[in-house]
Amino acid sequence: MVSTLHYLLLASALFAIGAYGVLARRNLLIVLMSLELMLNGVNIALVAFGLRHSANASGQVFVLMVMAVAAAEVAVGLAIVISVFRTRQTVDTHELRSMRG
Amino acid sequence: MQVDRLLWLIPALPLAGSVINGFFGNRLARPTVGTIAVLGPLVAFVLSVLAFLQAQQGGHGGGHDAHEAAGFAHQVVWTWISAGDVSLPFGLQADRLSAVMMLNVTGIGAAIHLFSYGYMKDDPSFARFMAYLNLFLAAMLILVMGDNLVLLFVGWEGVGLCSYLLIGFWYDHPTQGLLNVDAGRKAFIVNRVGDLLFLIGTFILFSLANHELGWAGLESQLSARTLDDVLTTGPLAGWTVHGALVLAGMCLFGGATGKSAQIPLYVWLPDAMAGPTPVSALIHAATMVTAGVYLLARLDFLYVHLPAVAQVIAIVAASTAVLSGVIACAQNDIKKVLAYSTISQLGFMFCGMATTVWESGMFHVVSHAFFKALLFLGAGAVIHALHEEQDMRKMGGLWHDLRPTAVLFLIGALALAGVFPFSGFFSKDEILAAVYLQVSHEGGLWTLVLVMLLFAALLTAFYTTRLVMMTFFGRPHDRHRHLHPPHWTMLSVLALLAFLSLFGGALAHPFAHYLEPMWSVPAWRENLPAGVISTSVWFARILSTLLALGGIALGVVLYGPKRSLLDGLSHGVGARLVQVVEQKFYVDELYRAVVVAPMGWVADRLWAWVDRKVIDQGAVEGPGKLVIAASAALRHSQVGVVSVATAATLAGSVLVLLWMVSHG
Repeated sequence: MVSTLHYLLLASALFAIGAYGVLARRNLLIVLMSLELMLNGVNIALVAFGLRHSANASGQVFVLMVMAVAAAEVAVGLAIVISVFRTRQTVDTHELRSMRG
Repeated sequence: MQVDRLLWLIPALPLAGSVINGFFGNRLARPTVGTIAVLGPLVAFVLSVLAFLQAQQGGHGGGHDAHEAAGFAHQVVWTWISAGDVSLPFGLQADRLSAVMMLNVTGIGAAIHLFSYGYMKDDPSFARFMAYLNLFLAAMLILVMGDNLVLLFVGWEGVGLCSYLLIGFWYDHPTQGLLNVDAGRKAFIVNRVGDLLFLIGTFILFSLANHELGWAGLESQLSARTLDDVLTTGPLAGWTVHGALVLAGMCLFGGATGKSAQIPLYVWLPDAMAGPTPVSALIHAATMVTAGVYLLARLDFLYVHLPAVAQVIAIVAASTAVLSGVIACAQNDIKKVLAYSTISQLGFMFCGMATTVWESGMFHVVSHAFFKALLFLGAGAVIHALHEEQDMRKMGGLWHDLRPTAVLFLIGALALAGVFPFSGFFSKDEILAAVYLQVSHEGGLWTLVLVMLLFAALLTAFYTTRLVMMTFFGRPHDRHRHLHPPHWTMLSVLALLAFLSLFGGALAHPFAHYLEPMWSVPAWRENLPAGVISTSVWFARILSTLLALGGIALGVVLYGPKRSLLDGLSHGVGARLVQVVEQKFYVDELYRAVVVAPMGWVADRLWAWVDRKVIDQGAVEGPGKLVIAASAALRHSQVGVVSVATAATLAGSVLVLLWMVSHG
């Protein structure tokens, strides 16, 4: 029997892997992909709770919402990455440090 | 005719003239500006005459007992202040006392406006001058017509402002000694001292009279208080009602010493002569400086119960009369002599008020307005003729060259000296007679007051004669001078005022009769035998005539054709004495050392420490510096690496989540 706990463990694992990717990787494309992993980890947690409280559809609705936003975000994010690459000839986050205080 | 509904026009007309000339005067032709400026006061004068007549027909209700039934013109223009149980109307009234002052202000005012046209028409700022003058008149009318103490104070401050503006009118003229603007500032600041006292007096009356400030309300509320009651609340807790009233009376008189130039606040008036001469005539002789006397007359119901305060007033005023009379004897600037003379005559007026023979002081206000305005305007005509020369030592021998002006001036001088039958004789005599009555009733310090006033009367005759001798007789300073003839408006106004100075004495009796219902009189004077009164009157008449003639004789001997006696006196000790008097007993220097310098020192320190250090560097620059320092420290956390920022965000989110979980 797959319980809510299992779903949540999977969701946490996905979120943690994504977070690690965002923090540790220096390639912007990988960072974006890791971000998607984090979002989907959250999505799994949401549908897991939606399954458990089946009278309440909020969880499922949230997931649909997140998917739509994530799709838009990826489109914009990729466009930014391309633009950054065109101007700086790199997508390495450690070299993009013009915001240093 | 009932003028109740037209009362607002009396101050509004000059105000309208002021607004028109002030904003558009420079685009109008000068005769137009002059016409607008004269028309307002003239119509106001006609309305004042109507109000005067209405107050007379109103029966003898007076301003006190039956406010409504008295029949004088009264108009509440709007409700001005309404807060809690305090309700103050912007109310104008023309009872007998106000009506007399209104006639004085608008009548002399209109004449001086006409004179000013001739005197100032070539000045580049003519329209500004006329606008100020009109504004002054509006403020002065609010002062005398206000039906409560606060509205009076509004006018009081308004005339102070106009006085300041007009003293410094020629702010760009080169001057010796005090700058014109500084003279204006001095007048304004010295008056602030008096105004503070005025306000304190007002506050005390306000609390004692159950928040009533209208004249009728004040009187009825104050007379309902028991004098021996002890106050239980407020800053005066523990004082008796009588003590509080004495304090209020002293404070309000303190306010009057500022506006009416009495010891110790008289020092601004001589310097106020920096303004154009019509200003000196209108504001600093005929109207504004008598506001303090009017204030005491208005509050007669208060002072009649405060004989101790009245005695202080009399001593202060008599000292002022003597001191300024002495100083006037040694001044060489024609306007300065007249200024000190005005202070001296104001002392006479205050003595008249202090005796509670109110009409004597008020009549001196009116007759003094006639002859002092005449003297100032005459001096103005002389100064005008000599191209702005004010030093009497450079005049002399003008009798032949300026015959009409000189004759008219002489009439004013005789009135000031108090020679029969000129108006000054009658008004000064009434005051002396009143003081004599007081001496026979109380004796004591009043004897000193009487002696001082008699000495001041002698001085008056002397310095007036000296002024006339130095200006109009003797050898001309410069034989080939070119004299500037006076404009017809100037001469006609002088003639009018000379007529009033000459025959004004005839008004003495009707004047006293007209004002009689206004006054509160102490009980002992109600049933005086006629013999006592006539003794006092004859005493004053004979003695003051002798003194006037003596003063004139002394002046003629000293400053006549043979000045050998004067030359003999002005050596050694005599010369030093003259110098001390000429330097006004160094009172200005004393004030500078005792008041101005310490306050300047304190202000300097306040500026250096509080203003620069605490406010500028602390309160204003401090927060800015704090932000700069904090951000300089915090900016190093911004390394600009995305992953670091993200880690920080994540860590923060985790912390928030943990906190939320642990706190349920």
